[in-house]
Amino acid sequence: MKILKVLDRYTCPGPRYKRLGASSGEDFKEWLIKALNKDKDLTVDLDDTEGYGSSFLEEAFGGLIREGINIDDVKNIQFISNEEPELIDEIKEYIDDAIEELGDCK
Amino acid sequence: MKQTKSISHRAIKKRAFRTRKSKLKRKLRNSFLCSWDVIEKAKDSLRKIKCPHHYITRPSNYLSNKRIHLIVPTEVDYYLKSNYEINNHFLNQIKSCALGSNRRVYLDFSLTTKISAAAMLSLLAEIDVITKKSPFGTYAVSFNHPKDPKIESILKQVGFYGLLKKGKRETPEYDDVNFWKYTSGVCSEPILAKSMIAEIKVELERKASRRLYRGFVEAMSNSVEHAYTDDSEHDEEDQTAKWWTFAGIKGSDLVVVICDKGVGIPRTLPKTQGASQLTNLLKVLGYDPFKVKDSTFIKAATSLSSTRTGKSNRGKGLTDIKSVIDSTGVGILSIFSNNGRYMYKGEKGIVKELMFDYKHSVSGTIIEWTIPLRGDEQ
Repeated sequence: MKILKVLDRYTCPGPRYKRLGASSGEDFKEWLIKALNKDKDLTVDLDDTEGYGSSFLEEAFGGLIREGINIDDVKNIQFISNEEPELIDEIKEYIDDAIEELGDCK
Repeated sequence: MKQTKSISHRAIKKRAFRTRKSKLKRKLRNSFLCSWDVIEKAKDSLRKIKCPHHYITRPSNYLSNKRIHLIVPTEVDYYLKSNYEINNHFLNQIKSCALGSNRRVYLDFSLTTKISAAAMLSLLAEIDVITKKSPFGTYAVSFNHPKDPKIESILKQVGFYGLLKKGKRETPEYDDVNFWKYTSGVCSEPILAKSMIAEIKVELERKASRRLYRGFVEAMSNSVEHAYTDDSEHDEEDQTAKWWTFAGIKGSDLVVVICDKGVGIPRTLPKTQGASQLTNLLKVLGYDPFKVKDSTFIKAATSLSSTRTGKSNRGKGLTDIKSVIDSTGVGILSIFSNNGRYMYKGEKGIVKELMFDYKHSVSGTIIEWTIPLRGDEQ
């Protein structure tokens, strides 16, 4: 099992896209894809950063679905968030919304 | 007999001249509420009658180096409706003078006795844009040292002196002034948000500070991503498409303000959501889509996530901005965008939200959070 600690790369998670600024959700998504390709059993530790904007989280996790990553692999990601436990539900909601949207497109 | 006639003719001419001069003087006196160009025209007419032979022919592209004297309002403030209108009218004057007519401006702070965060940030942002766009550069705007030492101290602290490269004088230290932090940027730079709220963070609960960071980053990203889309006045090349922020303490409240000078939420919302989505959203909120004011657009933008009618993966930024108040349970969120203002006092507030529409526009968007400090919260 691989644990990905967000703080290792982003002390201050930023905007949605790379073009908008540093530490973006898009950048984090690419990191997640690389990690998922190496190990499907992934845990993301969200603690100890300054906080998260919803665009960052949506692009990182909802974006995984839009990128065509296997839905089961994305749903299988585990989370650690002791500081803000409600973030986990929020991320799951983003993943579900992206799956729903993908279904609508098909 | 001939002599008498001549004297009488001269007397009539002199009286007519005096009457005309006195009329022009009265016109100038009465034009103090008019725009700067009306006042300048009145001054010029008076000058021409005083010195009738002093006509100067200029080329059409001539840029006058003479400064236009503009008096800064007594209260640089957006909280009172009357002050809001006066301040935005004043900002429009500066803009039309410095950018519309390429004239230099002299700001007279002699009468100013009060400065509040949102209005000051709006003034600072406008001056920043002018110094970057005007052919005179930083010399486009100059100002006098305010008479009130506290006002002078505020202007020093918020970087007004630095922006216009004016020498600073020694002023007394004020605790509530020294706490103000100012920053600005072009990209979404969360590291700047971190350093800016680092000091004030200790005053807030950890959770509230994370929520504040969240709202702040989203507001910053919104201004970078949407505020300057289709904006012909500002662009990234000349560094005018940017955001400006203040954070500090006002009395027992923490105040964080972020401002952009873009096209405003009422113009960006129809583009980001699309006409049909926006119509649905307005209907859900109980508004007639054909009679929408700017404050309604702001409310609609902050309700995107809760109503679930917007594009599902976009437009949650303003909800994050609102959630800062929900997480603390107290405080006020105030969003000014173009001619509208939306105030949110949290789910627990007696009056949950307030909406206002004004005559003058803030020419952009200003988001302000006012959160009581930890001690007062308890």
